[in-house]
Amino acid sequence: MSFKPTEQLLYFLQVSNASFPTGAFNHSYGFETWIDSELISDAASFEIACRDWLIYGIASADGAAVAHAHRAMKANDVNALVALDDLVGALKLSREAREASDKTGHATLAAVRDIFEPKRLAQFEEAIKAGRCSGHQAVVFGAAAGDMDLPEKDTVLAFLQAAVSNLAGVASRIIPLGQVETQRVVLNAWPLLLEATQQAQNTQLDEMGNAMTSLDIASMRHERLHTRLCMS
Amino acid sequence: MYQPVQPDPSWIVGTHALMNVHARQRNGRTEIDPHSWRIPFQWQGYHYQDHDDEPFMLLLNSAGGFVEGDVSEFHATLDANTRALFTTTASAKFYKCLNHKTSREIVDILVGPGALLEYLPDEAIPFEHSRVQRINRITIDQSSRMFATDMISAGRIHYGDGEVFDFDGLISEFEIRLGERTIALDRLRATTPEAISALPRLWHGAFHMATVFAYAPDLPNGMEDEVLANCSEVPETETGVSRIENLVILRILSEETWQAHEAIYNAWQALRPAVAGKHARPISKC
Repeated sequence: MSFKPTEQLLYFLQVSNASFPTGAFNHSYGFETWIDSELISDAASFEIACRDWLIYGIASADGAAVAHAHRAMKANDVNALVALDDLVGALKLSREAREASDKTGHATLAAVRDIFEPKRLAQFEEAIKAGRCSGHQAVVFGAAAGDMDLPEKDTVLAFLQAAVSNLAGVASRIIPLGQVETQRVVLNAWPLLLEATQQAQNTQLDEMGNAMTSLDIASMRHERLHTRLCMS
Repeated sequence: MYQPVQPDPSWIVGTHALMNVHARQRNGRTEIDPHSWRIPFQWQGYHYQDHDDEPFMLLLNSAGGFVEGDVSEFHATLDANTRALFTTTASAKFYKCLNHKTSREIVDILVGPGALLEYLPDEAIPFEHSRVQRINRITIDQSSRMFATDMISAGRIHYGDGEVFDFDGLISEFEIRLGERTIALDRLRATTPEAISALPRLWHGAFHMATVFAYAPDLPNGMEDEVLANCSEVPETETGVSRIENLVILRILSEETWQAHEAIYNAWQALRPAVAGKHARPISKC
């Protein structure tokens, strides 16, 4: 499927909406541990952590992977997608973070395939089925958009915006936060989202990384939380 | 197939260090042969601290640290079914780089089928205005066994008024490969003033960050819980443990050096019987 320029925005609004069946709303990526231990207890403390996560946690890892997957799919290079997928998984040092990325990736792949019927994504899906790679969400999201000739910058921005928006939704449920203050956090992130998009697009494969050691620990500790509302 | 790394003629003597060793089975035990080493690395042999077949080798950098533009390479190949432990005599100190050149530390270890690697170096300390690149890579086989640690300090914590997160650039990679595939990659890049100034927040105010990777094809169930229980006893330390198939990963953030060392040792105490078939004992370094 390909889109007219006027339809491209509609695609991104649809796939980044919380109702799109990726399961992302079930994952806190370790934030639930911080909320449980009251390191995050209000909108202000959530906003600081969320902004750090955006810049130092995902822009140079999953965000960059979206850009590289988009390029690999445009070049019709499934081997590059497989190698990228391995790298994305290896950078996630906690089991839950890796599983969350894997599960949401599979759900995204199935939904995009069934709804939009992209032409070449099937090759990547075959590689996943053959066990050559896992199918992480960032790689699937970027590859699908590349397959449908959507702009790379918009793809990365949509991915990062959806990540922040989903996390804000999780925070609003479990801190809890009011709907207005939650949406203010998302609004305040707009300039940072644009900066993070640029950073993601400029990050080379051998530069992809994650500096949020404390969130790795939170994600690892989440495996043993007594009461859990989120899967990660 | 073992292929010794040879020094490049273009390397500047005293600036580009090399230590290349080969662990092989001989005389009913593992012995380590040094190949193509260059100063400031010094070959001082090895000893059998556990009085068994496993040699302990201390990496000695006689210059004591990395000045601007220095490169050190440590390569090791462990033949099938060998066992070896590598450690350092002291922390790796990275001094200031006022001319914007980077100091590099490269560690590349290949662990053969059925072989055991224990790699416990001291911490890396990036001093004020240092520019550091660390590349650590361990390649294992499905049947290998491994306990490997990495530790980075924020600087000279108790020096003068403190010298914390004052380096000009830090790139650090620790990669575990299973054959051709990377199964874990800890890559930290702090190369801008903004990224460096964010680290105290990202480390939750800790001054030391350490990571432990342990692998064995038959790692018992629940091993990761035992590691966490052991490490949780260390005060002012934040730890998390996760297990991904037969790889256990431990993350540590601590306020003091000794706390990170103790957490690493406690993890070794929990894991060593399963990984190496014997109990952990403090490593004698003199």
